[in-house]
Amino acid sequence: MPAKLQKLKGTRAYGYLILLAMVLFFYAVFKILTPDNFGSPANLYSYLQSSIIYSVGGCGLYFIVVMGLFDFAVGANVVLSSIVGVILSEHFGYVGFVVGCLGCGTLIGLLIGTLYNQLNVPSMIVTVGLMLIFECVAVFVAGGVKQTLAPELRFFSGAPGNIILAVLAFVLMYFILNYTKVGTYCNAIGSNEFTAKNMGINVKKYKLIGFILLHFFVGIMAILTVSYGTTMTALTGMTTMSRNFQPLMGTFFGVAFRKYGIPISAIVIGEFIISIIFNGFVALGAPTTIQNVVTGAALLAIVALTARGARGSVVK
Amino acid sequence: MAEQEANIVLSIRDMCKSFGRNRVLDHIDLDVKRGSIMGLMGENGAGKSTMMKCLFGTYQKDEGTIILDGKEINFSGPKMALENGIAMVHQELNQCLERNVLDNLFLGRYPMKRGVVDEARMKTEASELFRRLDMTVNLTAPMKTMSVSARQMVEIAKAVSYNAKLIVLDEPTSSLTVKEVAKLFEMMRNLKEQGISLVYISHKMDEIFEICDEVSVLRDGKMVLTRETKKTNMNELIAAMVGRTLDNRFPPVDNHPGETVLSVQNLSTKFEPKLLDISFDVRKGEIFGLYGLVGAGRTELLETMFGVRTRAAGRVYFNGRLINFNNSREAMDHGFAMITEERKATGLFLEGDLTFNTTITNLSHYMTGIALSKEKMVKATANEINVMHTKCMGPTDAITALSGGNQQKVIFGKWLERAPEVFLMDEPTRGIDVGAKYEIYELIIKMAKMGKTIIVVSSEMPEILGITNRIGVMSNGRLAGIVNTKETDQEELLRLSAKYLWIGGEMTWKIRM
Repeated sequence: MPAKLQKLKGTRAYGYLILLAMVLFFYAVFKILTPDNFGSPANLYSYLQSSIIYSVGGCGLYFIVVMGLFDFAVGANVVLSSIVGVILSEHFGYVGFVVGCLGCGTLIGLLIGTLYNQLNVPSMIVTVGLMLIFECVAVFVAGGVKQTLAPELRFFSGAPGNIILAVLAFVLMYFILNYTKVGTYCNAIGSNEFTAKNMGINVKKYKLIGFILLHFFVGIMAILTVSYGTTMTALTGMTTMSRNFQPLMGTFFGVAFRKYGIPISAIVIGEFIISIIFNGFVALGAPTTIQNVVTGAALLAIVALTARGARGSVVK
Repeated sequence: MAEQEANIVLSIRDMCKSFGRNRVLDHIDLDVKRGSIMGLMGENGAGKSTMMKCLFGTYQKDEGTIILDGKEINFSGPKMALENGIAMVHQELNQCLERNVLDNLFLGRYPMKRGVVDEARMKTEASELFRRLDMTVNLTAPMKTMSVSARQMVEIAKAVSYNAKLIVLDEPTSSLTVKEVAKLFEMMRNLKEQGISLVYISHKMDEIFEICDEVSVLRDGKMVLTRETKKTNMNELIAAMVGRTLDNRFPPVDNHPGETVLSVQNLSTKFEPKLLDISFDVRKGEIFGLYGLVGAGRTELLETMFGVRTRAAGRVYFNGRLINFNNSREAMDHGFAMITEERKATGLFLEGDLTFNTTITNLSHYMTGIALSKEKMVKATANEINVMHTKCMGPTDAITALSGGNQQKVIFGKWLERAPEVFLMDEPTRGIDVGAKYEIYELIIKMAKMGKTIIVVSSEMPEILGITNRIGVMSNGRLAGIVNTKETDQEELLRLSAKYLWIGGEMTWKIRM
């Protein structure tokens, strides 16, 4: 490794360099394979627009993943909050839409966090159980009908509305993570829960706040999702599970690049990389199964290369 | 000359190791004689661990040679070292506590017979091994049911079973009682007679003089002294370690305790290990020591006072007010602070930097408006680094980059940021070198002079006698007595610590050896 690069190791600049190199690498691969269908400036802009939706969810997930928790009810909440938002928008316009999505999302976070604390069982189990319930509630609320956002309420469907909202979410995330007790305590609990307790940190309270924050961000994600797609259909049978993974991939990037001090940028750029890979395969005309295999493998490779534990360390 | 060389089992010559521009080992020379015990001392950060890691292949040395039994070696990892006759018994034992002694002994090398584990052979070989070492161990007992010292013995036996020529013992007595230490030393002498060499890493001078034939001292990555123990003395070793002389091991305890401020009355705990009916008073500006054998309940007493252990009965009064804390936050809000025994497990956030670890307990003080002020946090950390004389590059250093002693100073600094009135300290100098210990003693006395009330738990008899005003002696979950430090001696403390070991004609507390 050149001496100048060696000096950069561990710095923010080094983290950004790795992310930039990944973007360029995947862009170059697909551009070479399918130069006509992939990677025009208009295409890249489109990839960015779709990736920022997941980035917002990824930011929310970061609060709990950093504490060692998981949440599989994100997708179910996106569907339920979108439906509630759309229904309220029919009566109260933008206010109903935004308050509906954010309010429903946040309430779900409160419910999940409370149940997690009270039941004292792993977060994965609590959220899988609640995911099934939320899916049914969404079907009930929607009345089995596809909910469509009125055309006059689609400010967030594209630029600049979606970009403005996403950037506001990222700024909020940055502020909470770096300049509030909540962000600091989330990191402390993730680092050593027992020590955190000894230091007087109310671990249960901050885990609850973590879930509330996550689902507040999921509420924002719901606004962006239903605005982008214009409709939302409630389905049961764990169909919302697939909606969990794309935000989660961004979160993994964030956790992996935490050591460089750039978790939020890593979530955003990481989602963009995932978007490039997905769209690259679409441009190649690859079947969905192949797309999923390669995306999964790429994610594993990226996280293994960037977040690998120290030699001899125990990874669970 | 050849005879002399044949007598040396391990020879390290000109070994160097650097991390970046930081030279951690600087042309180290060391000879360990066959069938001898070599003490290895040095302040935290002197390079002892790095030297051992280079020896065991965890780190690759930059320069120099390592000769084992006349052959140059360069191990790629501890397993290879073990298979070639060098073993290490770590301070924190790496064992599978759920498995039994046999499993731990043969882990990774189970003897097989017709495709299945040959348990009969394991038992035969293990019995023979323990007989040879003059040890009585229940081979099928899960490790978690055994005392730390017994587990340590099993670890040493494991090293011997690999036909180790050299065994490195890293701070082996840090969790042992006096009797257990005696048993360990007996075993070490036994190994020595069998021609096995031992390297004994310790901060405890008296143990070095008792058990070691030779002693070597590392300071700032350099081997500054190697002597026969009978030809040196404590002052020379301390001077070699810290680079200056320490005339006394303990600073003068010249604080003047005032009126009673803390009163513990009939305190008992709900869950095991139980405390029973403990009562005592502590005065303002007093250093109150808590002594007792391992398992006597000293840690549990501090934890109960701090609100992290469930109280069954009793009351704690501070400044005349009832303060039965239910959690650590309540305790902190009332001016209490607690330094825990296990620095890494319960005292530090190892993923954080110095600023994170220093400011975490007191975040409300670093707010500007609704936001945390990074500037205030860094400033406070820099101040604590200065006050505590913490050796580091600055507030942004990773906590893991610091030596044990300096990490402990960060923990002290963290609590000092809250300006506590009552400081509960559980083994505050455990695993810390003599220089850093002295600084911590000075700090404790300085705080007492400032009117802070200090309760300090220590397993080291000289320490508890050297820095306290009074000592409460715990025995089997009870307070066996309170003595004035100036009027007591080691015999009285030992007698009191055994006071409640016999109840109803039956020994309730056992040294499981």
